[in-house]
Amino acid sequence: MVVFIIRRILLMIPVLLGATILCFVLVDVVNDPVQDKIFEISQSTGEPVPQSTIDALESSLYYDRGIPERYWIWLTGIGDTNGDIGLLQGKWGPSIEGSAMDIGYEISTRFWITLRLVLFATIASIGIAILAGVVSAVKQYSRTDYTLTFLGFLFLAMPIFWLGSLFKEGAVQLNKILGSTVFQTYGSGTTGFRGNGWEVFIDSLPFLIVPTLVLMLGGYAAISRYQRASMLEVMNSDYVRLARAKGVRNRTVMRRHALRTALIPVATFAPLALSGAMGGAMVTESIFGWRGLGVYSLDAINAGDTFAVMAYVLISGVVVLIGVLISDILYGVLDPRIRYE
Amino acid sequence: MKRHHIAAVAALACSALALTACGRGDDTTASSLDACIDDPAGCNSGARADGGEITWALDSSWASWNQNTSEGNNAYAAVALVGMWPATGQFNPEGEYIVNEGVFASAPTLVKEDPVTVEYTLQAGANWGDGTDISVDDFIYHWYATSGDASLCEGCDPANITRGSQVESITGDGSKVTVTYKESYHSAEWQYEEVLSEPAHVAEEQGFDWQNDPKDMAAAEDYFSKTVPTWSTGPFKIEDAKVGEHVIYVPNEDWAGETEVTLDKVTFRVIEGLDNITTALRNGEIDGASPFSVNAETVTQLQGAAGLEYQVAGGPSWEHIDLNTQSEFLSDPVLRQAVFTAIDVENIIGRTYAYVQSDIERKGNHLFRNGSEYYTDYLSATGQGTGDIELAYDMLDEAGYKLEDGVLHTPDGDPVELDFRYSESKENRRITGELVQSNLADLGIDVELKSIPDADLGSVLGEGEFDMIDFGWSSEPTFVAAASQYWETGSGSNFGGLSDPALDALIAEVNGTLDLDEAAVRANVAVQQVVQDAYSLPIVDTPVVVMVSDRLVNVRDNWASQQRAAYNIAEWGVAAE
Amino acid sequence: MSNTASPRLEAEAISSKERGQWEMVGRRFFRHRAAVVSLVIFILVVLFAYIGPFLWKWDYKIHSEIPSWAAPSLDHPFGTDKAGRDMLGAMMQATKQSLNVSLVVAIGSTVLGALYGAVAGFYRGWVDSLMMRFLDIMFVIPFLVITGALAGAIDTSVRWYHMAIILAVFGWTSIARAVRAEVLSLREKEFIEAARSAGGSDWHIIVKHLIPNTMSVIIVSVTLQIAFAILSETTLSFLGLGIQSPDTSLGLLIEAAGASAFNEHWYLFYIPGLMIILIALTINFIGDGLRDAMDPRQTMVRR
Repeated sequence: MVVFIIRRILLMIPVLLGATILCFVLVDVVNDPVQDKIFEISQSTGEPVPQSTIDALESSLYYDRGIPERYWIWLTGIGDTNGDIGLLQGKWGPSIEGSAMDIGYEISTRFWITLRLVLFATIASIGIAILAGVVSAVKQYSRTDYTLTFLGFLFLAMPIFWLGSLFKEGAVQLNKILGSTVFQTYGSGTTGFRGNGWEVFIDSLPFLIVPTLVLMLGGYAAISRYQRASMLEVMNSDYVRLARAKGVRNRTVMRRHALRTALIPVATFAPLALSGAMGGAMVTESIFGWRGLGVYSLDAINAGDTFAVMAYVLISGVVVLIGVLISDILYGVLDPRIRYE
Repeated sequence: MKRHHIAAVAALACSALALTACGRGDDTTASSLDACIDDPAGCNSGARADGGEITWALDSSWASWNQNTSEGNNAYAAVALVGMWPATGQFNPEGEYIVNEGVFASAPTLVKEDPVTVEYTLQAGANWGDGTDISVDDFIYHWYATSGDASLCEGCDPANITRGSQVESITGDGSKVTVTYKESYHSAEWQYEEVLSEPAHVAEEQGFDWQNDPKDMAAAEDYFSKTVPTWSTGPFKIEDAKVGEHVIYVPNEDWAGETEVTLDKVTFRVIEGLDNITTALRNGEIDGASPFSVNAETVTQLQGAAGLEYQVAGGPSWEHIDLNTQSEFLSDPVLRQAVFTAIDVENIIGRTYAYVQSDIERKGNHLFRNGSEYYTDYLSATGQGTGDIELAYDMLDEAGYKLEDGVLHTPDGDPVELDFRYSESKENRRITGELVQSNLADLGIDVELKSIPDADLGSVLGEGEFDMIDFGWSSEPTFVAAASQYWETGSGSNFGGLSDPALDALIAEVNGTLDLDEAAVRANVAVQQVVQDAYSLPIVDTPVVVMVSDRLVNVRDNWASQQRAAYNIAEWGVAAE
Repeated sequence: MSNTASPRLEAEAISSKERGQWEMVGRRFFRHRAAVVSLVIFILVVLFAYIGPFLWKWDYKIHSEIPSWAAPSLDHPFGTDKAGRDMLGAMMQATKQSLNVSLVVAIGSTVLGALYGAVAGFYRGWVDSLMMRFLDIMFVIPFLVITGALAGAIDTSVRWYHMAIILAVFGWTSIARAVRAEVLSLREKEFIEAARSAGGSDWHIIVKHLIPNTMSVIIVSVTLQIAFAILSETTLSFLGLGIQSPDTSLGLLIEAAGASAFNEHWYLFYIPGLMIILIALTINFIGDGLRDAMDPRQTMVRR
């Protein structure tokens, strides 16, 4: 088992390297953020930008070098650097936005913001999906089954950004009816709020409910179909039939035998869903003004901020790969038929 | 066109026009934002309750706390730091300059013309909010930081060095500080120069020997970029902040200004996107915002909402169409004049900006705003922007251009084709392009519309990849530097590559006087020359919106200040019952 | 009785052979009620987008005689927007361009993915593991980030075909995996052996024998790719990283409608949203129907 995990983690390294190289080249070739920055400054000051400032900007962002050298420096930090770059040394490189924007700090704080959003949404969507999937399977071909199946298809077909805009405006209207601001539409917590974990959580509730609902409905559809199929398969299996034949009560058969086995695929799917949802949170975050990872990557793309995009690519890559790994491990742990040597 | 930071504003803002509404607790005729058209500096004023909190939205973020540097030079940082920054002063909505009452006792005086020598008198007790008074060292620090001189600050990246590179020496004693400029300095706007930024004593406390070591100076600048300023020279001081996200102010008890501060707390938070700001305001999450754009959708949202006021007016930038004088066809001034004559500016305005601002006027002068004391319309008389196709065609005909099969040909027989470029997210610029396309089609010129990704405007301009382009310039009340920046041969911001020796001479004259009125007269001569060159066609002052909860008083927009509505933050308050 | 039953059975067996595999699939498909209804609706949507503009009096452009912000009426069934654009005309154009993108993506990414998967599965060994590592790399790269970065970097305005190419180039990985899995089992079959011994080149075997035999996987994935493409394209356009004017898209129409879901301009928000849902929903049902129809294990139970 340990050997298996180590082997898998080692295999991640070339994949991550490949992904970063590909992204670095694609993002870097198509952007020239220094020139845009200089134009912005000259428009804002109304005066020409001194050449020394342009040179300083280029060298501080490493734009005075070629792409291969920039990648090498970004990865290793070995060579002629200002000491703020080199992934292997734990430095993420400078951001176009400015020296006060530390990419490592941004990524780590935003990671928890996104995780908070995604964790609740995923847990809620898995819970509802299991319920809907089981009901659907037990009452196969009934009106309930058709309704739930249709709802699943409907949410699968619904663009998250449309649903998000609808719910956001709906929350505003609801507030108006209630006469107080119960739901907040922008941000992840009261501006500048400080407190312990529990206080922060309570403070964030008015901000959390609506976006969680949106993400939840987006994630629900796929899992419920999954659960229905696996429940049906188990219910038609021999050992469940045997249990029934022995005269075990239907409810007990369902709970003890069928559901327990039918949950295995969903349990193994959960880490994948979570890591997938972290990527999908971009839209929800941008609609509801959460300063999470998704919005960070969106801003970085718009600014042509290569090092920030790379940081996001790396983090999301690691999250996805770990999701896959945990899923595989869970599969082995939960399903007695599978053993890792 | 310099930046003007304001921290605090003189009590003068209770101008004569607004006296009825100012300072009278029993006032029952508190005016609203509707009054801003007639009374830009006194509208929406009223008696303030003691206490209260305001949350104000900024429509974008900033990435550095140090406005000296290129990365900190950001309009949103300027607003976010408005409560504490040691600005020299700023313009009010009527274009009057008001000196920062928390720092200076009086306006700076010109003690000598050659070389220019300016004396500043500090306010009694002007301090950094941490027990240290403002001193001559702080003036010197700001000079070094913006000098662009490696022997003073090695490895610094100041946003601009126009003033900093011209300082010869700074001396001072107690409340008097004297700045002596080099022989080459001749700006008529000497009294508006920024002279303070960061506290020198904090740099020293952090162990930076900035006076003697240029590398330490750069390190100090870097320190200020990354450090949330807990010191303050303004009416408020920062209680909590995160770069690019929020700033929370509480009153600064040590402030030397006289305006009474009533608010307990002011929060600036970033909400990106006009829709999101409007929604948050309607939902009661914020109390107001003065974003740098407006669209018809926002106006509809605001119209239908209860408990808030809004006003749309010309903002701090202006729209214009520039021609590339280095391009294949437009290098001919006759064609340029004909193109500008064929464009119907009133029609463009009627189908774009008039949707959000019904009283909008065509802009008639590149340097001075409509209604300013120096404003004269030199454009209309030339026929530029009238859409007079016949007049335009006559000009071309005279110069030997020919219309064949409905296509305009140069005297050499080449068909004339132009492109029109605009930022893709700016709907009004796209419609402008479509209308220019149809205007020029009447002249037999085929125009191709090519949009520009928002982040690439700078590179398209810088590399001159356009025939015609629609973009904006900032339109603050200062003008001396603007003329040379826009039009002087070889200037980095002369994107259309205009090279007119006569104009260069006129621009040099604008820079050659210390008298503001005289400089304005000379600037207007330069404007006339630019009109002759048919280089740049102004359209309008870009409309912007200010939206506030109606429980706030003394909050109004200010186009003349980079801080917009926050220019008079000391006076902001919650209406008394 | 037995005399009559036997020839009837034979007759059916013979005639079913004559019907062929695809006719069987068609029959099974047409028993899937939701899929058939969806197919009809989807065809209507396609006709709306491609034929509609020839029948309707307004196009998608701004006209000065069209009032701004008119509520839906007989003259303008979907209302008009601020600038004076008939929304029915605009919807036809937007639907057409969104469909253009999704059809090109569906076909492009399927061709790419099928070839890639077939080649990997056919050669196995180091070719396969190299190609699969590349798939892992593509899997790890966040889809919206990389497509958004490329679309955002296009020098002029992003047209629908730019978007289609970008989405196709990054959207083929799931098909490649599915096709490879099929090919891995197919390549051991006798008919491949036969083709090889008859001297067929590798390319010939892949294109003429392997890919046609994975057609059921491919057809299902084509339909699902359409739903995937329309959702990604509209999402990117909504985020400002997708199609730009003068082209339009359903995502852009929703973005332009802003927060008007509950005010008098509600129709600007709901109509394009419902169109996206309609397309994605019908496509999913059609895909589901096709999968059931082509699955040999499928019982003929109506669903």
